[in-house]
Amino acid sequence: MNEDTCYTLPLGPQHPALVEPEYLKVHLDGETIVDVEINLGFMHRGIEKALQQRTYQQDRFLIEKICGICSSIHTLTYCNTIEKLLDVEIPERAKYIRMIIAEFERIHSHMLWVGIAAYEIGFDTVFQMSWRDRELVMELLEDLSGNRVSYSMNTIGGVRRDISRTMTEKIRTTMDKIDSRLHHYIDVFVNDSTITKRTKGTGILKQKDAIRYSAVGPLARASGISCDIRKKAPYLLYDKVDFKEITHNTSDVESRAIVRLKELLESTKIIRQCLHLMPKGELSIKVPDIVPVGEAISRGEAPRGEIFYYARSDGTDKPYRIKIRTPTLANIHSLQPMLKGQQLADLPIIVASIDPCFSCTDRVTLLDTRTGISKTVDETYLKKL
Amino acid sequence: MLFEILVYPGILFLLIASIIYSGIMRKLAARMQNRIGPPIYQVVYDLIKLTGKENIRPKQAKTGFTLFPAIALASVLIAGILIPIHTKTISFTGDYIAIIYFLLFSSTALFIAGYASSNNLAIVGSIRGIVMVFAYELPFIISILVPILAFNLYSIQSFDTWLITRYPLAALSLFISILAKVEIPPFHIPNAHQELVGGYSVEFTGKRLALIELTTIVKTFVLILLMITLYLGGAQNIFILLIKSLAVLFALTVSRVLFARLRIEQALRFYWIFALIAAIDLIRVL
Amino acid sequence: MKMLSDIIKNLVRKPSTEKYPYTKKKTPKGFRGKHEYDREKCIYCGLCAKACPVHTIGVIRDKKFWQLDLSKCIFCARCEEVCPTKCLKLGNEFEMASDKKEDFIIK
Repeated sequence: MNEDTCYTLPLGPQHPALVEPEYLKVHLDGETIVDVEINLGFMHRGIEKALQQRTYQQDRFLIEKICGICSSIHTLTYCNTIEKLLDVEIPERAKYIRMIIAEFERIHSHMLWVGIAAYEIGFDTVFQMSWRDRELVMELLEDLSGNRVSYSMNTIGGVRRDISRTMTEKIRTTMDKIDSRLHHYIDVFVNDSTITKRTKGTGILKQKDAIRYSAVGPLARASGISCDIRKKAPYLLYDKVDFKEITHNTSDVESRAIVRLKELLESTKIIRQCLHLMPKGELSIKVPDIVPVGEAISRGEAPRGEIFYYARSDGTDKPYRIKIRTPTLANIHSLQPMLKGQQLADLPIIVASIDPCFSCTDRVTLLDTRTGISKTVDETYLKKL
Repeated sequence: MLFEILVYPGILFLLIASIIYSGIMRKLAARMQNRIGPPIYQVVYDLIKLTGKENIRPKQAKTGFTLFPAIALASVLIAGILIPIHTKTISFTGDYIAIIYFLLFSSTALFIAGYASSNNLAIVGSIRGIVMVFAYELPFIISILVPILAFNLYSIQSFDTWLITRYPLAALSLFISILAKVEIPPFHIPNAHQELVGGYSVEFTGKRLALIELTTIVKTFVLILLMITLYLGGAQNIFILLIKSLAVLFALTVSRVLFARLRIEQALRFYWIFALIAAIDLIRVL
Repeated sequence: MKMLSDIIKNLVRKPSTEKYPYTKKKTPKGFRGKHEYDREKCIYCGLCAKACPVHTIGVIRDKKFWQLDLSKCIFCARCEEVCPTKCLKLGNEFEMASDKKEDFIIK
């Protein structure tokens, strides 16, 4: 590293490559990245505190707002946690509907990612086309739940809306359409020469590093680590449906694209099986407002990786503590080994390749630059202010 | 004479035609991406809006921040006047050198303007632009020289024969270097929106930004004219000009929607290969 | 060059985008839009106000007062779920932008 030729380039907090405000301080030597400093904390919203001030039923809608893209898996995992606390079993039909919505969400999230990844390497057409095809799923979701983004389908004790028979047929035909488009995109990402020139061999995260930085989700699976929660610790009825866990071991950006796209083929498979296996019956059971004392955890496989919920109840209708761990917080640290030694031009696509969702991630941490001691903000500190 | 320079086929014609062509290109690209796209006169709206916006000059901006965008537009217009369409406006010995020079200078002026704005992102964009100049200028010059040397001319003129059939490699490398000169994908490296925000134009607002936008727009049209004049059999009247230029525009738009952006060292390698390919035609001429 | 087939197809295909304010898409059945409130049926029980996660509904039973502020509403349809007389329903309207504050209040 030559001190004289090095300079820093600010990436964010406002930057077109990052949709959400986050600050990456990039140290460059010419066009080569020497080092990256990741600064989080521009989007902290205090959601965990706000959750404690609302009832369990009301929290559902706040949790949905943690992430616009993965709004269903958040409520799903939250509901699973609270149902564990209540010790109730939800109807089987509700479980299948939850799974269908979660897989729809995976499809639209990964299709969105395909578009963003193409946009980051300056390929606008793939971006426009994949977002057009994503609209198929968005319309299904709107038909099913009444809203494009906040589905509000999961409720504690079941789901809120049913899938009618006409909808079942519509879903089947749409899944066929999506399958054919997905095969096309896999072909584009594997064979298009301008795309492979940018994705092959960039942003390599070795398997060793992926374990060391505790990567989750498609990022880890693209480095050859099997970590799908749906397989490892099946929740709902994922052990009853037949699907493969996709791993790929070239560990570069292309590998992540392939993992995501092939995962979607499995998703459509899951949805078809769910529609087939879904029994008739109740949608939800009635649950009490007061939750008994206790604590519970629950895990789920969000589109971006493992999601973790911890809930503790003190016997009232409001939670004592809810702790959320989102996949991007686990993945963002892997950016550093991925970015070092890469070209500046590859930075956007590498950052995008973890599919970051920063607003889920942000935590408040104070860092004293003189002593280097960091501490988390607590209540007493906030009251002093 | 003055009418020819100022109105047709001079400055006014160039400005109006290039704005229309830019609109057509946006519409065409939108349709290729299955969008409706902006109306063709959207570019006019954009430029009018920009002239109404505030002119912000950063505190650390150096001399030339205001001057060089204007110089860029002026030099690309001069290059446009020098290119014969069906009448020859101005002609002098060695005017093809002047065309090469003014087209190059319009690019460099923008990079200097970016450098003068003293913004890290703009400087990286400008440096990338200069590197790109080293990449594409060689195949560009070679492909202009091929027809000139083939007919032992002293000044540029419209060829009635379709030279693209005789020198296809040189014609191809001219087309490829047009892509880089007007920063069409896969070579929109200097203004890479994703990593450099806007490249050299990042600090510019208002009228100065309008000048920069207009420079790129006019340059596209001027280079299309150059392509027609040299390799596509010239334009005997305005209808032939229209058909041929729209065909070139269509080819440029296809390139715009079909490719991802290359990295700078990949682009450099690509252009030196094309310089070699164009050199084959040059050797054949000599 | 893998997108070439798409590009050629798109040139003859109808654009998939639409000119939004001029052409509007029909909202699906069960869409969660602006509330439709039936004053006749309402019994002012206040269940909706209690259930609302953003506390945007105000009810005073004695004065027969019911009010909803749309600018705070998140359209979760929780109020529709708990309403005992089904006097509250989320409708199809989704264009609610206005520069007057009164337009956001349903009474």
